[in-house]
Amino acid sequence: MVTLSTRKQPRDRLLRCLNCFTRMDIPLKAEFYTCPKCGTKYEIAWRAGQAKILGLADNSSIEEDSKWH
Amino acid sequence: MALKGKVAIIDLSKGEVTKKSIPEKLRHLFLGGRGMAAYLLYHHLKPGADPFGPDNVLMANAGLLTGTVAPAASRTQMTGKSPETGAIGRGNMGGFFGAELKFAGFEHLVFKGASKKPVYAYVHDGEIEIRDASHLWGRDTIETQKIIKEELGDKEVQVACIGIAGENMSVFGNIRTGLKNAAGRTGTGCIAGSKKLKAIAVRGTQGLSLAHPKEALEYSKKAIDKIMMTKVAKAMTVDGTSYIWNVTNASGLLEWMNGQTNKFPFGDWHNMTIEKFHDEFNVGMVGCFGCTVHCRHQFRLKEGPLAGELGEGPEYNTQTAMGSFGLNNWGDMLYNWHLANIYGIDTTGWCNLVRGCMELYQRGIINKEITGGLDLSWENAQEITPILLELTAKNEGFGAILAKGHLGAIKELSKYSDQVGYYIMHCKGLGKLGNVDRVQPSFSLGIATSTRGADHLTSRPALDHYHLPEDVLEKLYGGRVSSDYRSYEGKARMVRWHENTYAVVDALGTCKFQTVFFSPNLPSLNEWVHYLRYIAGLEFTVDELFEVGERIYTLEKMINHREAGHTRKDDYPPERSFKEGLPYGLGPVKGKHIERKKYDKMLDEYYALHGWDNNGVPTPETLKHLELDMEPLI
Repeated sequence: MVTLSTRKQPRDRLLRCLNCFTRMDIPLKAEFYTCPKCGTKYEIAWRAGQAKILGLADNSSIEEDSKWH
Repeated sequence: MALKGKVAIIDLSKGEVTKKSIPEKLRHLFLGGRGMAAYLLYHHLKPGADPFGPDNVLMANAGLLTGTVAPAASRTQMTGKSPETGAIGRGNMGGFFGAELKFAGFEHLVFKGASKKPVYAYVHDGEIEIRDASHLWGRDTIETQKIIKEELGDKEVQVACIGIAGENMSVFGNIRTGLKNAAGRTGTGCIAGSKKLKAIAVRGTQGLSLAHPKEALEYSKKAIDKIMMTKVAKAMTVDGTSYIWNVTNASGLLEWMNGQTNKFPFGDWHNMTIEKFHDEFNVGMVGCFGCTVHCRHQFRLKEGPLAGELGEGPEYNTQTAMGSFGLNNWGDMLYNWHLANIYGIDTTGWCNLVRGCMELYQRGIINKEITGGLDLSWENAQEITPILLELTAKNEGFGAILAKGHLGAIKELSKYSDQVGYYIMHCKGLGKLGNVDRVQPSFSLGIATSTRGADHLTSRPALDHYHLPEDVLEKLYGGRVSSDYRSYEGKARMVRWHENTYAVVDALGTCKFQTVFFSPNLPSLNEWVHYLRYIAGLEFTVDELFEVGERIYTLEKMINHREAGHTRKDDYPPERSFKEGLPYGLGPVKGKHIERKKYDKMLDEYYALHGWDNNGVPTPETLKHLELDMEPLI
């Protein structure tokens, strides 16, 4: 018997903050987004309808270590 | 059993071919691909053989499911005793070679001895011919494939071949098929070179009989639907494995300048993104046999001596390897990537050694007198990379030191400083990918214990980065595992699970990137028991299949113990991982390094889970339980 199931994953706008791991719901076509919990700012890219982190919007934040909790 | 591919033992010294069937018992114990490769290597390699000599063996091993309707079942593993590490050598490649080998009636080709003159093997519909390859010696990997296809008059012929790196016994020499697919690591191309085996050409029209064709097709269709629904498959369809780079770069999880910094030091990181590649170079996406994701980019070089040539890639590997020492734009990265491909050089390992040598140069440990006048400073990367690639491929000048690999280069250069072994970083003689491992205990344990040396494809638990709920992790791994990627808790269990599971993937011959490697929603052991039933007519429970992985992994460990004397001392990450915290990075990353006491405890747990003693050697009880103490059947 074939048992493999399929399920849809309509989560194309959801990303996880790389600093505090909070789920972020990125507004469609947004180019920048700030994590509502820790304030890390991201540049966003859209690929095949999916939001994707392009990088840090403010590269200096990579040097800060106070946002981890 | 439905699949009936044979093993061919080809003695290149005598020009003799022996064909053998594979006993069903071995199918249950080792499946095929990497599993049978370990079995055949253990029994056909003369213990203590010189990896450069005729007593070494070179094997091409198609996966058990390769060439069938299982999703992305394209893989072939090249295996032998590694000239680079002295331990098990294995490189795994996609493309169409493995499927064609199966259609020709074979699953495993075992090359023994050595030819006196260059030859290639032509494998077609149950027959194997050894043909003269004098006219191919010195040709690059793309030319070689083209010429063989032309002279055989069949464009459907698939060719795996070496470039001049393998011919010249550079230990970075790999085996390639198509524009990009490579059995990249551990120097299997160098073994082929030592046997004067330039290429293997395969063509088959025999087809494969499946145990339950209707169910197999139906199940495969559902599996493909499930794969294509995942976020990761969607991302790979557009960006290939390079989709990972932006996230690791943003986190501070990439090593630059040989791990001295984890913040991109070579200008604007935007120039390194896959988005930039798409803007400037991408001409399309292609896939391997049976793949619906198509994660391979194609590009056309715009400038330089190879302008106009079509290439394939990049991978995450390209960015983290070629980009790690100062190539800071796609034009330079792709040119040198393509150059490495046509020479037949393992870019992951080679780039790791080069960046180690560049740090030695930066610190004044080596200088122009030693490098033959080459300026190895970081800012000179654009100029020296193609020169170093050519010298390595030709085994000349400073390239002759690089061509010895990590262990050889350390031995050669240690006369200038006792710090050389600290800056040239490796595990078991194999260099690693240019990403940070010292934040994640699971990643560090994985590269350190990998049977082929520092390697991200043997056990990498990418899931450790997903912050999955711990109940999900416990269900997957059968015990408590922390969802914090910096934690040591449960990570021995996690790594051992991925080692065994990926050993099964490689034995089946499916693409690892369409498995649990990248997502818990992608196929894993639960699905593979169905593939095996419907396609091969083999019955396994999930636990039995997992034990096959354990058996394969333990046998590889035995090979390393026998051939290279590997024990616990060889299962540690580079010293830098323990001594230097990361200078930059987001909160979870900055300042982190591996803690030795915690690592030791994790290693103890890892050995216990595998059933190995505290020195990392499989116990007699484990060997008996896994039936690894039995007499050879082939």
